[in-house]
Amino acid sequence: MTLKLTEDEARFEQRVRDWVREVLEPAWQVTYRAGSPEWVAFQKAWDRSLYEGGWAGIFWPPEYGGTKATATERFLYAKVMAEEGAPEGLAKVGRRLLAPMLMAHGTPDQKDRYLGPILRAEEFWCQGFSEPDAGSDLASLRMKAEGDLETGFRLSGQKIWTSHAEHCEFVFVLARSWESERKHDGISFFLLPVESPGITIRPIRQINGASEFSEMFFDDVAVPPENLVGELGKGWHVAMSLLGYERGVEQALGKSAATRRAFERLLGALAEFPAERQAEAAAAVGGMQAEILAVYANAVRLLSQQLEGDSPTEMASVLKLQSSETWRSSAHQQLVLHPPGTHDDVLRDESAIGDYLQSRSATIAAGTSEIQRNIIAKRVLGMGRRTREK
Amino acid sequence: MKSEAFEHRDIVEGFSTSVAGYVAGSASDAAEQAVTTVGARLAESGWISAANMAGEGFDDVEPLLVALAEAAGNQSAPLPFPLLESWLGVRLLDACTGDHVSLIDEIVSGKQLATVVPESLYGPVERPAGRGVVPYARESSVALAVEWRDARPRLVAVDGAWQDAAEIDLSMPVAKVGDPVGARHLGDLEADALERLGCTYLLLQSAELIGAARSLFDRTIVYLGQREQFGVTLDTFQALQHRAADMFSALETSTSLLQLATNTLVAGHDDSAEFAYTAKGFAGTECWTIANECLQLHGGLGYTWEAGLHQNLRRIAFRSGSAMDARRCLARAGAAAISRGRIVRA
Repeated sequence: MTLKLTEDEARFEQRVRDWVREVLEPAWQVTYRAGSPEWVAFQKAWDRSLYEGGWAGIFWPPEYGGTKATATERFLYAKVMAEEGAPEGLAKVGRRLLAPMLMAHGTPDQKDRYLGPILRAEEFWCQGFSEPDAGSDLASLRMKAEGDLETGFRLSGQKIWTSHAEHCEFVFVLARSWESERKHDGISFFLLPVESPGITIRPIRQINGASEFSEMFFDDVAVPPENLVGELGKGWHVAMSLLGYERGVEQALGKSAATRRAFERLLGALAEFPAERQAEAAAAVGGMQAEILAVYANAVRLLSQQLEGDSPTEMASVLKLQSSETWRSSAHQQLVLHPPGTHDDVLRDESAIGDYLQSRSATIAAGTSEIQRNIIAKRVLGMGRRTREK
Repeated sequence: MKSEAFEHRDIVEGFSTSVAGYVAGSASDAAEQAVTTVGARLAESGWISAANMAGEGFDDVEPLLVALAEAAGNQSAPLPFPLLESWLGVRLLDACTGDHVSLIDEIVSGKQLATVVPESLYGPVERPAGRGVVPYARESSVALAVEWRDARPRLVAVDGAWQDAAEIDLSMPVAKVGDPVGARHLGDLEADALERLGCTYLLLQSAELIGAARSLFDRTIVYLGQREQFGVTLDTFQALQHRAADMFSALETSTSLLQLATNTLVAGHDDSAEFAYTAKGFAGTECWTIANECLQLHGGLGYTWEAGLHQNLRRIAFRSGSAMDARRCLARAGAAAISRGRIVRA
């Protein structure tokens, strides 16, 4: 594996970078408080800029309005966006999660109705999967979907950790059409407007003071039959049909770049350490730098495997585990590694505190570190197989 | 982007099969392996000359050597021969002024056993005396070191009495450079070339560390899947599954960092030295942790000499502490980042 890009690839990378630097508002992270109405408006405006700049469809196939970007170009795009500190945008859930599911399992009418507005950032989606008793064990979800393909459906139950629900027009949910011995069976996948009668949204306040997630309560909410995606009772298969590793690479590169920026804010202060503590500082920074570089190294290696036609399943789990743990430990280091006598200043540093508190979600969301370890142990290393087979 | 390691795959597989035959089958055999016997077989098979393959269809030789070093480490026991030092010796002789073709030929053909004073690579030092332990010092016929005169590095062959040094790796006899030290000047080195070779040595060590740790890890996974207690195999217990997952993650991350560092060296990246320090620092730390874990997860069996796990553990302990040692590597990289005010970029 070599870092040597072709001339075309190098030009592509520069084109992305030039575009971002021209369009992106500098220091937006400082200007807009996460979760505030101004922050939401900024994120949506960014989504529209991505569409107008021709970047919104870079991960989509051409037949649905996407570009013909190669795997390397998609990687370079994600890398540059991360390095330049570009926002994720609110359209990301629709563009990167729902759209691939619709492309694979949606009806022609569903694709016609929803894909265009997603791409153009005209309609925004949130994801209604997790429930209070169904987080890591998502398949044990309890939300009910009564009804049939003739008369339509009615949903009752609760969802939690739904990002920005109050700022979205639509939600996609998993709900249980029937009970089954195998809990993955009987789950169905639905699309519905957030303002459907019977839906109540209650924002959740996080430990960092922001409210980026909500609870959603569904009280006998009507869903027409044409809003079922895939077969009735086969929704689990729809939800799991994503090629997860490219999104994982995008997220990891984003986390790595954010971690890098946060840690680099610390370096200036460490240069002021007294001489007797310089060795301590150098050792801590060396270790942290290794972890941060390792995220990028793992992402590049995953891409390399993909280009060689290998399935990068192993590296995808390693990347998620390593990148999220790196963000967490780096944010922690920012708070403990500080010049003598500045502890109060550090704890009053909103960006350092904010980064630390936000980092606590990285090892939980999108598959906890413990789940990643389970995946590595059981699916990659095959551990426990003999006992399971008995 | 393309994968160069993929292109070397056949060569590495052939090497791995060869080396497996040279490695001691059990701990009791290790001490009896004659380094000259192993050296002769490696030379006969052309593996020492791998360091000389630049220009023979390889754009850069480092990716191949790194892959071979990992394969050398990934055996049931360490290779009882200073292969990394032999390769480095050949590259040093090739890089310095003067005609050393004959000496290089004698090393790759097995007629001379070369070693290197590792600490002297990371100078500047005026004399290599007392500069850390030297692998196969007494067994070697030429021990190469770098010393600095008038702020310029030069390659010397160390002559003089060797002093005893503590050994942790039974298949890697070591000694310290005695004092007074005789040093025969062989030629001058460009500072850039020396830095590249010092980085290469760090990458080779990292590769051997990873190979050895992977060998221990693979054995541990097999063991956990076979050993039963409380009516189930040990790998049923989630606590052990998670520890194994963390080891796997550390191994693969070490590998990724090593590949990244190798690529930056080959690409002539301005900060390739810092990537090399980072790769060695990370691998030297994580692989030792992995080795400790593997020993622990083998329970009482792992504590026996007969099981032989300690052989690779000893090699890992040696390489981690060998110049430039893992902690110093990370500290050097960290100091550079603080001085620069930013983390190095690929």
